[in-house]
Amino acid sequence: MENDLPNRRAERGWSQQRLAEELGVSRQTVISIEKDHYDPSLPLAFRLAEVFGCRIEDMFTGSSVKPESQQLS
Amino acid sequence: MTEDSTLRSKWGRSKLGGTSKALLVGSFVIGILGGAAMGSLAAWAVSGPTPMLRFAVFAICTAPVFTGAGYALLVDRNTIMGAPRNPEASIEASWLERAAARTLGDVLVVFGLTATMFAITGWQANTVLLLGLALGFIMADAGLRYLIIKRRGS
Repeated sequence: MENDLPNRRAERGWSQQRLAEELGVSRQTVISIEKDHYDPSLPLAFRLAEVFGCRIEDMFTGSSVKPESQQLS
Repeated sequence: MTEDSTLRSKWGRSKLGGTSKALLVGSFVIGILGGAAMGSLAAWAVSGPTPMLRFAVFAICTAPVFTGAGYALLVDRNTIMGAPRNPEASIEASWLERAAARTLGDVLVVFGLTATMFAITGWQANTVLLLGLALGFIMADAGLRYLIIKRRGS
């Protein structure tokens, strides 16, 4: 799964550590999600969507489709 | 955000309350009592000329294990500095799960082959030594698997 997490995080000016603390997970988890090395669990994906105020499908896509915000930019 | 981050410390605090110092003292007390119990058991259960030596060796070897177990039992992990609130959602939990699954596969293969070899050759082995080796193998294999998965996944 691809995601636009780095862009959304950058927009808020958050570090990976800050986002990890918001989510209650390790910093390594954020790093791995951003690198597409780790697909978050459904509860974590919902939490991410809640933190960024969007829907899960706005943030995550299958590898063949770009997330909404990347298409716009 | 970590609204309670100022209340966190390196060693955390006990689920029963109190300071980090109280938690560590409690853990050491559990360690000493556990070590003494194991030492007494060894001195009582095994006949021989040096019960005090057996007591000391077993107590010294098992006290650190009981101390660690006591700490793990008592500590409130939400009071440890840097501990994530949702460890089960973190990637480390995924690494551990995969490492455990692969270790189970390794155990089935290695133990199966070892048992077959013993059955064919008729070898006899000391049970304590064999169980110790098995335990060492499982711990080393799980640790190695975890490190490999971590290296590939990060």
